[in-house]
Amino acid sequence: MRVLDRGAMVVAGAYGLALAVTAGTFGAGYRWLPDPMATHFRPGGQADGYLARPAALLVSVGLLLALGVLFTLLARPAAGPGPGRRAVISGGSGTAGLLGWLLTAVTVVNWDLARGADAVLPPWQLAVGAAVGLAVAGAAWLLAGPPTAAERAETETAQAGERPAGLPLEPGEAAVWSRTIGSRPLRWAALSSAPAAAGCSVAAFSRPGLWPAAVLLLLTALLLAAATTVRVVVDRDGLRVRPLPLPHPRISVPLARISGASVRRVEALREFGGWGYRLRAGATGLVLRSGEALSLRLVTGREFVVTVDDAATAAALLNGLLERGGAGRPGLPAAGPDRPPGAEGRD
Amino acid sequence: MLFRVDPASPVPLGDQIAACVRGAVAEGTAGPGDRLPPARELAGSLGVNMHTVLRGYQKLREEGLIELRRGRGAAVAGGASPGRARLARAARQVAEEGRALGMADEAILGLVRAALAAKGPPPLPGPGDGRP
Repeated sequence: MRVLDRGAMVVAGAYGLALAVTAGTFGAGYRWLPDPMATHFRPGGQADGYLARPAALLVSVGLLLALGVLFTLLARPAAGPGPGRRAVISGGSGTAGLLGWLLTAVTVVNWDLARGADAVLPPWQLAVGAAVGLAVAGAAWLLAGPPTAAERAETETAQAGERPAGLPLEPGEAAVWSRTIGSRPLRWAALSSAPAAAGCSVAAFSRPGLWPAAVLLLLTALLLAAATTVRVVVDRDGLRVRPLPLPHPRISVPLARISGASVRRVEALREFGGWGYRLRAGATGLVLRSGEALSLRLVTGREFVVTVDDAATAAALLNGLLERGGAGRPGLPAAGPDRPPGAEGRD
Repeated sequence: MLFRVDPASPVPLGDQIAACVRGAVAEGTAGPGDRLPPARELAGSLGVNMHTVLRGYQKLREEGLIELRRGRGAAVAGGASPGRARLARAARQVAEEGRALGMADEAILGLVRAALAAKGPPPLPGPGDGRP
């Protein structure tokens, strides 16, 4: 298997070009640059941040190299043929175009100046950079081309999954499947946002202007922490997912909206662009990690996936409940999570 | 963890719930540290009384298969293993069959003691041996 195909080469090429232009301009005009040179500008265009020349070069080259490696890795064929691949290639290349233009422009506006403070980066340069980025993104979109038939077939096989036979259920039998699932990526995100939230809150006591940011950071950290472990429940009402320590926020998929359940593998980054509650064309997912997932086909034709272990049992139970539902569900209320008190069990 | 409860079965509902957890541990689908669903939530899903679920959990606790901690809910015990779960199941079977035969509890326990004694370091009790 090739390590890089045409799509990945397009991204790598875009960053290579951006790097060559940026570093080339920097090197060619090195003598004309003030030291320190202006590297940050106010919205009006006046310089307000400075770096020594070698540092400025290092930051530019490092930024383009890091993003280039990241996007090439995301676009490489070995990562699987997710439907978002063409968008990754196009977006990554567009970012290369925008950054390449802006970094070069920063170098050029410093030319022939005695002091970096005299540099002015006209705001319209941002618009030109955006236009260049869009043009490069469009070109990359065309160069990458639509997924080949082989890639489409691979995507379909990967996403079709396996549909287990329905669990045979007696007419009056009640069955529930319940399991918790944790997310390492979200746990790290929560852990790393907590110090930021704490720091911002402490700083807000002396600078009240920081309070909105502090509250926002605290809420983010709390939400992330709450979502790091969830409980997935399948019962006669359908599927329910909620954070482990709390009853809310929860996701419910009523049985009436499900047409079938299967098990498949999910690639978090490639298929859904990340972790957490994800929306994309044709599918919704609670993606806490890559790997085994319960996949629901909804009556609307959309897919709902939730990554969880032992998904085969959950899918078999859902299919069993659907089959029994088709044959009429005697003795069960039409809807509602709670039965009337009279229906409570004996022992 | 899959819970199945059939009100038409002669087995008490709490015992049915306990048997599901025992089965999950015996098959290895649930291991030490795995959290059981909160009793109230499971009761709502199964359409049974919360105390029925708690009775089932209590039985599992007595068997050493789960730990019940106030405020933290129920979780599979650290010492639980597929072997331990199968043993708990076998013990229940012994008790059920003994009761079905109309035996007294002491007589059933006596059987188990005798089985243990047969496995123990050999005191070699003869036919006329007066030892218990």
